[in-house]
Amino acid sequence: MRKNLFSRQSPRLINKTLKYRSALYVVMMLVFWIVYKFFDPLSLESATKNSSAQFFSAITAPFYGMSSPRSHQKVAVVTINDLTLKRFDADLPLSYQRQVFVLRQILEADPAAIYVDFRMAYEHTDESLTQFQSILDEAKSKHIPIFFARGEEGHDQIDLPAPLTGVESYSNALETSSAYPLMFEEEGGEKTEKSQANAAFDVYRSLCTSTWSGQCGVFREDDFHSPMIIQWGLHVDPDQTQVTSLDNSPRNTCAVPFTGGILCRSIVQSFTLGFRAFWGSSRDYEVGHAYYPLTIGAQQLNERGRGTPPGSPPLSHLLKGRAVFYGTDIRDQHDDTVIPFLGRVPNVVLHAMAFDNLVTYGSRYFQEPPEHELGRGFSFGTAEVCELALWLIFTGWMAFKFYYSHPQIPAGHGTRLQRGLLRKSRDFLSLPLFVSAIIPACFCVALAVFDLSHLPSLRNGIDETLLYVCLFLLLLGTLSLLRLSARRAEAEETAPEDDESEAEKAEKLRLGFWAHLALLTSLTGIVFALNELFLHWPNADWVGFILLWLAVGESCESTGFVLTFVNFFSRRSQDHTRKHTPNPESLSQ
Amino acid sequence: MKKILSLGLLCGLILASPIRAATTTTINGVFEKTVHAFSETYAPLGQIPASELMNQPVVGIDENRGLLKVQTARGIVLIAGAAVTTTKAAAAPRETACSYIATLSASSTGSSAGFADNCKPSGH
Repeated sequence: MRKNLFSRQSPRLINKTLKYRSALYVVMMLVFWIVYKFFDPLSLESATKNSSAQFFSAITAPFYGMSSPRSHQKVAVVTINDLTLKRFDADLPLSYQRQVFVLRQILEADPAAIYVDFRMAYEHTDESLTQFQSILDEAKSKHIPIFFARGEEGHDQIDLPAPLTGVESYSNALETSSAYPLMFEEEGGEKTEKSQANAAFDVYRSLCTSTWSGQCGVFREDDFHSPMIIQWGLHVDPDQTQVTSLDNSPRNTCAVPFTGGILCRSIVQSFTLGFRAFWGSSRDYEVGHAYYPLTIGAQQLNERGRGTPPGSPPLSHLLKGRAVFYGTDIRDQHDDTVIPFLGRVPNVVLHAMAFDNLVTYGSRYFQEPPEHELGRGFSFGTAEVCELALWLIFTGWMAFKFYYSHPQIPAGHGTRLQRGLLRKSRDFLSLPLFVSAIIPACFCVALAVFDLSHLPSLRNGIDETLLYVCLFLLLLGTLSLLRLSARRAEAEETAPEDDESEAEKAEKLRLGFWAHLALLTSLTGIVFALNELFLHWPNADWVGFILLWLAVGESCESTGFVLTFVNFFSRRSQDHTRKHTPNPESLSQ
Repeated sequence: MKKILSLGLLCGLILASPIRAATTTTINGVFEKTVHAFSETYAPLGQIPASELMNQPVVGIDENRGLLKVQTARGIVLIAGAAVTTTKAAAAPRETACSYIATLSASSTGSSAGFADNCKPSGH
């Protein structure tokens, strides 16, 4: 029908219509991106982000901290949990006398720092906060930084009463964007001597500017303004087995690092967990994971470890030299956060994990891309700019193909360019596989060399290397599928059928289903590797973008979302043009 | 002879009493205002004020449940050892009990009430 319509029209009118359709296509694609990105209809974008965050947590968690000799060793959590309350014959809030008793046990172990995640904004009616003065004095004499939680920033939080006023620190959990804030802007532009910080960063900053100054490298506070995207690990501290049993859940079969068989290798775990998360069965996996940081119940501090001989030191000795986060580990206190793939985690563990990320990555921690203020409450992120740029390039290419692939468009510069690109890509794909595989091989080797040369320890080097081998195999597989698609298209072009429709000709130019899927998977793999090595942005954003691209791939078909709109508007326009423009055939008559 | 024996006994008593007082463990601190107490047959006695326990002698440890036996005005009561501090010098640490500390499901279904739990006996 459309073919007949075009055949009756003059080349000038066809050219005009196609240009109109191409421009409409670009505008519609832009509208599609804006609606998808900013208006989030039916939570399509946020739902995609959430599910892809599960997937990326599953594939990255087995690798976290495995190559860092400092991860695990510098942090610990002491908790008041249900068993603690039972043993102490107490309930929350604990008496100050009890808190002081626990804090003294922690202090006696010579930790590097202490963060108390109990908000003591108001004094108990029958006790005075001055009881904590002895703890503050002892910490000061031992040069141990100590902080007390002040609550969440931004809710007109009052200062803690004396003597805790000078040692307060915010205790914000994750923001709505799933990022963990490190620092807070001063209100009203008033610069204080020390900028306000969140729990993990306050502890890290105090250590890096004092006792750990030699271990933190060059510490510049300005490098830590962006909120952190916390990376979670699946392994436990090797000392955790002294404290608790890991037999509660099959999730912990491989929890102790560098133990277990080949099934416990990071690479194997990454694939198996990633496979499950990809198909949405991650929910089964979110219960029973032991926490990444060493976690000890407060009632266990004066007990010796499991399986240790009589006369062994108490478990509190494990806190020596670590930053200790002390808080509640009780579900009903609502002081917890849901972490993708892991489930519900107490916020005191969240602060400790953020601190471990700072120890592991330093200023190169995973973070939200920088935001640029446009004024009047408008801002845009660098990630959005990158996405939009890539989106426009892709849209431009689609519109270019759409316009010049029409058989009645006269051969011009655009057609030559398109044919040149097609010929070059087919020339490349017709090379022997081992020749065309040199480019992806060089790419993967370069990434692997860069990664391994920047690892502080090569303990997990084999698994890290295998990751790049897998990436190379993925690219090789995609290349093979693209070669098959190119050969098929070439064979069909040599035997053209005169009566085939415009849609059938366009179909020949499209990739096969598997080649298209492999191309997207390869693209995801490449972006993931580059992001892990260089950008350190949230991975979930990228997956959303790739899925968006997949959706647009669908739109190449006449039933696709964007093209349906384009066809609709285009037909309305053609009807309008036919009514107001005389038909060339009728003119000749 | 009797006088000498009586004198010796008296001296012995005088000398022994401070030693006995020094070796008797007493409660010198209570963390909360009240403490849960149980009878020797584990019948709950409710909560008793901390003041009733202060400076009272610890007469033993209940081996079955690890509770302290304390002599009070209302007789011997059992209380949690970690609820109080005593004059006894710190003993060598005992082995910690088997427990789990782990994540919970994002929804409440299929998960335990708390993040920490005692190990279940085998076969359960």
